[in-house]
Amino acid sequence: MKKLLIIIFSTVFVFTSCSKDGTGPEINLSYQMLSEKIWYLDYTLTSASNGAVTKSYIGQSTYFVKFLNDKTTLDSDGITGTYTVEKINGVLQIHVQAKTTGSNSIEYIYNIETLGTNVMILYFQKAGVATKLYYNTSH
Amino acid sequence: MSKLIKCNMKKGKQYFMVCILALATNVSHGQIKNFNLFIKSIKEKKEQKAAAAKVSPKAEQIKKVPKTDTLVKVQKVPKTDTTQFADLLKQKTKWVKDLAIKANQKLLANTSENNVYIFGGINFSKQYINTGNYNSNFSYDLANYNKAAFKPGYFAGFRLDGKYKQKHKYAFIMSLNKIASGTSYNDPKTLAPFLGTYSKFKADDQFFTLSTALYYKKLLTIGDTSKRKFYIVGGPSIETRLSGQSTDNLVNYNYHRFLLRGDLGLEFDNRSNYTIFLHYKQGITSFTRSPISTTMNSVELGVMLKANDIF
Repeated sequence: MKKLLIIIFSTVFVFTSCSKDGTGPEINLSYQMLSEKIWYLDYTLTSASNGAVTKSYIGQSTYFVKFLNDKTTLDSDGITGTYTVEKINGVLQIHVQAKTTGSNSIEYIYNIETLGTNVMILYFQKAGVATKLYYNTSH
Repeated sequence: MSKLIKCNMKKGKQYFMVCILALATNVSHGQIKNFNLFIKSIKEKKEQKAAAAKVSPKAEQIKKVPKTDTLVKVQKVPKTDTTQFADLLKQKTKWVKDLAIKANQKLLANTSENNVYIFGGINFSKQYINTGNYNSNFSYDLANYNKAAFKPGYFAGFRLDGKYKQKHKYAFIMSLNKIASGTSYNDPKTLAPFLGTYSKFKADDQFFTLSTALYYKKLLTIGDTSKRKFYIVGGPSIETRLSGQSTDNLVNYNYHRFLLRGDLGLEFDNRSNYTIFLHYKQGITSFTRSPISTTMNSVELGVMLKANDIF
C-alpha cells in the first residue's frame, strides 16, 4: 500500500511539475522568419488617444529594413546596428541597437503583432499614439 | 600390489573384492578379517557422516573438495544488497513472464484459425482544420499552405487474422505509416489589402506514425466464396505520432501524440494467395490541441500476404 502511494504521488509529481516552455522555439522561429529578408514598409496606421485613426500608404518601398543572419540590421536611412528578438511580458519584441549615419547611437523596440514568411506587422506606442507598421517582403 | 598378491585367491571372489576395497580405502589388509564385518563398518561410517551433516548448523556446511580429498569447512557468506537485488529482479521478471504467458493464453484461448499476414501499400491523407480562436505571433499565407488535396504516403506492417469463439472473424493490425497530408482550412482569415487569406496556425504535412487497429471482419456472400472472398471490415485504430513537430508547432505544442480514428474497408481475398484491401480512416478525435480542431482522414490501398508463404 505504501509503495502504491509512493508510485501514485511520484507519477502525479512528474506529470504536473514539468511544463513545456515554448519561448525557445518561438524566438528561433522569429529569427527564421525575420532574417535574410528585406522588409518593405507598405502601410502605417496611427491611432491617437482621442480615437482618430490615420492610415497612410507608403507603397513603392520608400523605406525598407534588412535583418541578417548574423543579427545585424541596416535600413534605407543608413542606420546600422544589431538586433535581437525577445519575449517580454508575453510580448514578442525586436530590440535594435544602432547608429545613424552621423554616428549617433539609437535604440528602439518594436512589438511584433504578427510575423510571417512574407508579412510582418509591428507596433509601438509613443506619447499616447499607437503606431502599426505593415511590412512586406515583395517589392 | 604386494598386498593384493598376499590375498589368498583360494578364499574366493568375495575375499578378493575385500582386498581391492582395502587398497582403495587405505585400510590394512590385516584389519579385514571378515567381509561382512568390513561392509558393515563402511555402512556405519557413512551413517555417521550423514548424521553429522544433519546435526551441523545451517550457516555451516561441510563440503568435500574433490581434488585434495580433504574436508573443508565452508562458511556461508551473508547475502549482499546486489545479490538480493538480482534475486528480486529474477523473481519480478519471472512474475511478469508468467503474467504475460497467462494473459496471452487467456487472450488467445477463445481464438482459432490465427494467421499472420504481412502487408504494405499506399495511403492518401488530408487534414480538415478549424483554427477557432487560436492566436499566435505568426501568420501563414494560405496561398502557400492550403492544399486541399489527399496527398500520398506509404505504410507497411503485419496483422493477425483469426476467429473469436469460432464465430467472429477479427484482425489485429500494427503498421508504420509515412503520412503526407493535404490541408484544408475551414476558417481562413483575411487582412485585405495587405494580406490575403492567412492563418495563425500552420498545419504540419508530414508525419511518421505507428498505427494499431482492431477490425471486425464480415464475409460478404458474393460469388463463389470457396475461391474468392469479399470481406467488409471495420473498427477503431489509434495512430501514435512518432515524428516530432515542426518548429512552427513547437511554439505551442499544437499536435497531440495520439489520434483515434474509425476505419471501414473492403477486402478481397483471391484464393488465399493474396488479399487486396481498401480502407477509409475517418478521424474521430482532433489531432491538434484545443482550440484548433484537426480531423485527419485517410484512404489506404494495399496488399497483404500470408507470412508463412513468404518466410
